[in-house]
Amino acid sequence: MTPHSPGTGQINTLIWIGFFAALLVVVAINLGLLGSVRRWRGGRGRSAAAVAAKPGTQLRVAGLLSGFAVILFVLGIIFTSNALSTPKTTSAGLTSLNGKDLEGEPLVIKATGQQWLWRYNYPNGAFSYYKLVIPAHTAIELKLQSTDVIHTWNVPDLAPKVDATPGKTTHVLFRADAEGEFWGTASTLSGQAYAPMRTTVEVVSPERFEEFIKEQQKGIKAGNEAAEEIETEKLKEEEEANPKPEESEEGEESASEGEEETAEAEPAEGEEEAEGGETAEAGAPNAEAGKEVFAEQCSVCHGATGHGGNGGPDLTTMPKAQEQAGAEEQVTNGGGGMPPFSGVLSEEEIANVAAYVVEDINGK
Amino acid sequence: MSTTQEPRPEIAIDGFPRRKRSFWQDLITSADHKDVAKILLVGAGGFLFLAALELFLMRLQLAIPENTFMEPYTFNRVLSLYGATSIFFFALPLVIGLFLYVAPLQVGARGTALPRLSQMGGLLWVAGAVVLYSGFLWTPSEAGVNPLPPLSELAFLSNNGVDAWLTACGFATFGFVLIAVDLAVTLRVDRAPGMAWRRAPIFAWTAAVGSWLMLFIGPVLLAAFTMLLIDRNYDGTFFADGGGGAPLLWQHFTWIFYSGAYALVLIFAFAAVAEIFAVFSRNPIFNRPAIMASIVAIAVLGTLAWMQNMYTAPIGLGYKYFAMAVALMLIVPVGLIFFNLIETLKGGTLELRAPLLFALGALSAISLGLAAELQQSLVGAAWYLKNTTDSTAATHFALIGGAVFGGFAALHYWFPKITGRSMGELLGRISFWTLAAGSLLAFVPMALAGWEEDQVVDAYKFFNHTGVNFYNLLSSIGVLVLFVGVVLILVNAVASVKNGARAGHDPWKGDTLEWFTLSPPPIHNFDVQPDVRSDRPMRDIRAAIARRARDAEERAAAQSQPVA
Repeated sequence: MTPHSPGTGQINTLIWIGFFAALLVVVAINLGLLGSVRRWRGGRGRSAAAVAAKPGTQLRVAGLLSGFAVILFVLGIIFTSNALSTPKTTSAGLTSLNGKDLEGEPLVIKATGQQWLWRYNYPNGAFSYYKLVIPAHTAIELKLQSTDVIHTWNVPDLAPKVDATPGKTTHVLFRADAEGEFWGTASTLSGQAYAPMRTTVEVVSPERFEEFIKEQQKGIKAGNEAAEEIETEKLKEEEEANPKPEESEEGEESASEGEEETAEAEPAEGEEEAEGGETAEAGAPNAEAGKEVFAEQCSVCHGATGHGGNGGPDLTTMPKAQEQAGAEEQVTNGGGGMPPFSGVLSEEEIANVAAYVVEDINGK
Repeated sequence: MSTTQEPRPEIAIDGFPRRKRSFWQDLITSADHKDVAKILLVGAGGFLFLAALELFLMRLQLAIPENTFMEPYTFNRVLSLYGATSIFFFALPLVIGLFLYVAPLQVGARGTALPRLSQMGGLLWVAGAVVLYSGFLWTPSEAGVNPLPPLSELAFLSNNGVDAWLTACGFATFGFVLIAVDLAVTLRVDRAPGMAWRRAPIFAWTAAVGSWLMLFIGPVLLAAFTMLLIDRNYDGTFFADGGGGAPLLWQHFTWIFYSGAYALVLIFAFAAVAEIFAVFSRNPIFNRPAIMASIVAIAVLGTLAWMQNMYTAPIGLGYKYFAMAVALMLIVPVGLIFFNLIETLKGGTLELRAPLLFALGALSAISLGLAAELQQSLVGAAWYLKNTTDSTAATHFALIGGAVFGGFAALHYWFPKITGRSMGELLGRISFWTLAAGSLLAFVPMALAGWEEDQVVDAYKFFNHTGVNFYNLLSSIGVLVLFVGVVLILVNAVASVKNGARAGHDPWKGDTLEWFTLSPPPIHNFDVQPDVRSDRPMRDIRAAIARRARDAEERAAAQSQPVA
């Protein structure tokens, strides 16, 4: 642990105090045991002669131990309350956001834990998944909530661990004093994908933070518009082309080609893939490659076969998963509890995994 | 002729002549405290093997980064099984089994007061074991060592694995509570004449304290289990947050039990070590009253400190400071016990045999575990250290010190009484050093990985480039060594039942009354309850016999002299 906030500095000091207290205890006890064994081992013609208890020895020992306990208690309270004391935004920090003065109040960000990711909601509607971006030298108040089970938000270099318990809102107050990326984990068992449920905190300059908020807002707006377009297009298509088989052949040429590829023998498939790469046929999605992506990214929620069960729905019942465009859109932008994968997967990977879902899982 | 006459067991009858029954019939129908305890002890040995195997499997998965040896859900299943096995089916039955076997003998009781209750407790525990492991073959729980709701609610784990887990551990806990009733009553009313509490052997005293402790904490856990079963099966909302339930309530209930059980294992180990230190140094226990008072204090304070497991939970800061205060108060009784035990060795003539070796190992391991817990009882420090592998390592040091080292110190010590034969000394030493090396190698790197790099608990994998590869590899090797040590010790125990050296009824020249009867003891323990005049009754009996022999000799000499 390398503390990068005032609070974790206090915590680190307390850990070292505890360590030296523990070391003292361990050394004293084990030296006592070892010494006694060395000194009194074997009969050697002696007979046992118990050391007589002197009056007052117990009291003196108990007094010594009580003193030790009291000192630790006082130090514990001092450093714990120091670690808790509300951090103030320094002059180098973020003083206003979107033209609104923060007036020395901490910047409030909502963090929501769900199986198995963290979603961060910034002021003014911006949000991000996995990664929390915060301005340096600024007091941050994280409001922790959980939509399902207990998650523990834990970014050791910046803040104390705090549980996100469903039905309650908990708070973490901290201030990051250094720019950079800090990783974090969830540290209460929350189900299958608990181990990879990690998060990062990117501490940036206040100016960069404001830019980031604007970018996020723009991106979200564009994403919503794109989603609407796809919805309306899909409605049009459904109205125009009533016979289903035709639609799938015309509208989704690329998808049907992927199907042919998987249907053919393996050596042939390799050749075809190579050809496809040369002609660059609008990046024909490859369901075979999508399978790997699915196993890595999707199976934790949707199950190994895509029939759901681990927090994600059964894909054979989801309308969007029945056709390539809808699946791609859902994977890219997320929604309905599912995170967007636009930053995590490349466009090609998204196309591949969508093809895998449509062709192999739903057999279209 | 000088007489080195041994105290002779005053046994005239050995049960009533009755129809011969098979071993199994006897085992299942017997309400004798020794038979019930044997079921628990043999079972605990088997589950120690399984727990060590499960721990090893998990460490195999965690030996290298991003390993794919186990699926995430398989890991969680093994983890849940390991938690239940090591606590409810190894540590607690070992502790309670030894209490049930030895404590009535130590106070000179001719049986327990409510034998059918103990019998039912033992059988319930067996039922729990069957449910747990048949449940594992069917649909295991994936909810972890402490199945925290809402994760353990139906909405998140919809198969009946959690139900099986709860039922199994519930049966076992109910069994412990029933045995605790029997023991508490027996030790209250059936002590030999003259044995006031101040003269009761430390181990029997601790059995009484432990029984009362179990009577307080057991029902709390049973209540929590029942509530979660209602939640899961009858649409209850005790812990489901949707209907106004409180996930926090579960944490309070279960941590009360787990903290109490932790204290129970520790006081058991301290008491067994005290008996062994006294006998193997040939000294009286140094300052018995202080040790007896400290044991009560640990039982009470250890349980009251339950909220020190909830420092990250949404409870008020005042509660956390209270938990820290109680946890730090434990320094006084624990420190006094360590001080007085070391003082017991002073001036003695130490016989460094397997029981003493294990007893020393127990104190050493417990000192490591409790010192690490001390560090984590400081609220601020715990905000970093809790839920890392550092806390896993601390718990394991304390509980392996208490239940494995302490448990096997006690088993080596009382094995001759239980079976009539001694456990192999050489294999005992080898297994001790294997276990010691294994636990250091397994848990020191684990603690460092948690402290330095914040490796989290219960995770089925860790990532490359997080600085913990080497620690995890070392830890996995350590657990392998630990596993070998456990196998060696179990082989030693099993082999010694049939092939151990015959021990006689008092191989260690013990001070307490269990060495006054046969090995193994007859069904009614003692023909006559001996009178007790001090806290070392066997010493008095030996002295009385020596005196009588001397008198007889003098009389004989006087008679043989010619009358002048």
